[in-house]
Amino acid sequence: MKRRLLSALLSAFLAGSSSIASADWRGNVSYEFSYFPESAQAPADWQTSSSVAADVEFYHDLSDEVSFTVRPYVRVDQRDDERSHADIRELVLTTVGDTWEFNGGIDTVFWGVTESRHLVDVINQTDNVDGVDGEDKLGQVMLNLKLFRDSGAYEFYLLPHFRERTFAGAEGRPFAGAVVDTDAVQYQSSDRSDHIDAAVRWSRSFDYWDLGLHYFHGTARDPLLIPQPRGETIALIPRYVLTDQVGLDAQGLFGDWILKAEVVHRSGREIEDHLELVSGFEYTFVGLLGGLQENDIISTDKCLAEDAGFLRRLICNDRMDLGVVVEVLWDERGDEARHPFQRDLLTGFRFAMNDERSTDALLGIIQDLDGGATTLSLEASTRLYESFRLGVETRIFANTDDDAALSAFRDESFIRVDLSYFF
Amino acid sequence: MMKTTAFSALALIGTLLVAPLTGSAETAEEKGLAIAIEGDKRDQGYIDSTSDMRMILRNRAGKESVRTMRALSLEVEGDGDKSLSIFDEPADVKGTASLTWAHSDKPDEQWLYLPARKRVKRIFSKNKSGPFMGSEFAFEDIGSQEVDKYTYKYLRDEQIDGADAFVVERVPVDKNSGYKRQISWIEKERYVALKIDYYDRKDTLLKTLVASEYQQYLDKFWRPSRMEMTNHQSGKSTTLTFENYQFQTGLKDSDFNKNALKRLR
Repeated sequence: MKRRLLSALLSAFLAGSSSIASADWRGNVSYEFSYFPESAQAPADWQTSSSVAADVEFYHDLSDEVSFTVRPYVRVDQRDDERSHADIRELVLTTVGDTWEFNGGIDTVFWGVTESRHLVDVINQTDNVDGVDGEDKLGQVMLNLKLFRDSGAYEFYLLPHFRERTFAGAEGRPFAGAVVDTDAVQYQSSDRSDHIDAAVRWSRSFDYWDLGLHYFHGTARDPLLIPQPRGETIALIPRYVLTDQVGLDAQGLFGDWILKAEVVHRSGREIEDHLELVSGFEYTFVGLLGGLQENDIISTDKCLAEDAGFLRRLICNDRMDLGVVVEVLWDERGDEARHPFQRDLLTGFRFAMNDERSTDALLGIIQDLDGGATTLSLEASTRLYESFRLGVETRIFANTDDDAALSAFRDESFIRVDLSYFF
Repeated sequence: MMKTTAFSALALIGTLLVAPLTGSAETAEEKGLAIAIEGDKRDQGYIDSTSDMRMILRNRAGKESVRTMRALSLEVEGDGDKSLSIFDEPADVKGTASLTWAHSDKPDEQWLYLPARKRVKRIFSKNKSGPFMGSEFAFEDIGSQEVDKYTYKYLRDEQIDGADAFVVERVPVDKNSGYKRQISWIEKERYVALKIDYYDRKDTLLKTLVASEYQQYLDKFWRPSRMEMTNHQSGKSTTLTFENYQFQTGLKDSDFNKNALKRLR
């Protein structure tokens, strides 16, 4: 009886807190299968692996102006203990006014415009074990105020707790040639992970251009990796240094052309002052093959024939868009850079089938321009049975012999297939 | 909303002033434009609206798939409307939202919010001939229909399903449109489109839209509850239904901002 009263009171309170109170949840669970055609050294000498993950977001409106979001994430991996991990991507209270927004808690923020590297996206740490493209992020504790003015959006961030980057364990693949010993982590700051980082950003949309400027002071998200002998092998010790970063991101839209640039200047006591740049364009052929039917190169009747095979259906797809992406990647430090993309060129092809299954594919080739490695990646996905998505991802590392940064990846080419259920 | 710009407003005044004097000397082009302007004028003052949309995609074999979304729009004085679509189904696009600022004198501005990466992406609106969510509706079919986006020509009067209608040809101004021309049946009494035939760039009949079950809101604004788009070339069709229409809900300009996309539910 007491319990019933309590629940009645509780629901009365929840219902009474706002006339429009609403709750919502969404997310996905996924199964992933990986296959590495080449075997590696023990203990990462496996070739196939399975992994499952869940990503769920709960949202509750407390009023028109206040809302609460929590988004836990968990992955369990058959082979790599470091890849089995859980995270709180979001746990954030948001309040908004007409010209401002405040977020307090754990949140995920994305900045940037380019495809190949995300130089200006500095707020969240990369969840390096989750995906290989650097686009998966760990939740970041923050106090964030945004002001919206006619002159643009102004964002202020206080980031009180630093998250370490995740790295594959000794059993993990793709294996970078040496294990990163995250237990031996070092910091430049004596406050270690409690150093309070800060960032400000201004951004504005013009008729044809979107511009963003930012300044970040604090612990750089990407660590130096210091080799340290461990018996007969070498371990890498992550060392997180303090850095000042100013950066610009710009995107211009001119018809079927999109011009993109991200550039950052980074400095600090333990790193050389330097510039890094990613810049390029994307050109989209809208309805690429539509011209074939329009100009009677292939007849519409042939396309509509009942017995049209896969190839003819593909050629007849006048809805398919093809985007060609070209980006130059550059780091002023050249070979001293701590990443493989000091002088590289990305050539990418983005296919959007615009069909009822929202099938898409992105093929990218990154070529080191100093005679180094060629990295090929393909990501494609399509919808199945309304609530499922089937994806395939592959990375092929070639010509790695003369590439110091990627030589360890010689045998680490792989293909992954994943099936996700969305709700 | 004043979808009419100064130019077409002048043309309207010109029509009003000249028509009584010259009588039947009004050209077919002037009459077509006058019909479009009158239709636009009758829809002014709605301020904002929200509705639930449901789209049923049907392929030639009759296999169906469903999309649901919520649509919000805001009247903008002196320019095109601002609109938001928030997707609920299929589940893999739940939370995806698109924001469009329609303009009468320059290209529309458009942003897409991708919830998985918390990423707001500016997209180019030139891709207007592309299919909306894999359906038979192109982006340009469901976008804000500004008067200035077409040139007009009145063809004839005709009865359609027992209603008197103007038959007006309209030609898209934008050369990136997927259509050479459209033939629309505008009901005389309410100035609403009952049917539109779309001709592709080869001037072959591509699609037919039938809008029905019009309902009146706030004693003024007519909205169809059902739109049926049939593609004559592919044999596919899409049914779009609207439910729960609400007007003057108090939406603000700040709701139609790219910064607000991340907060949408």
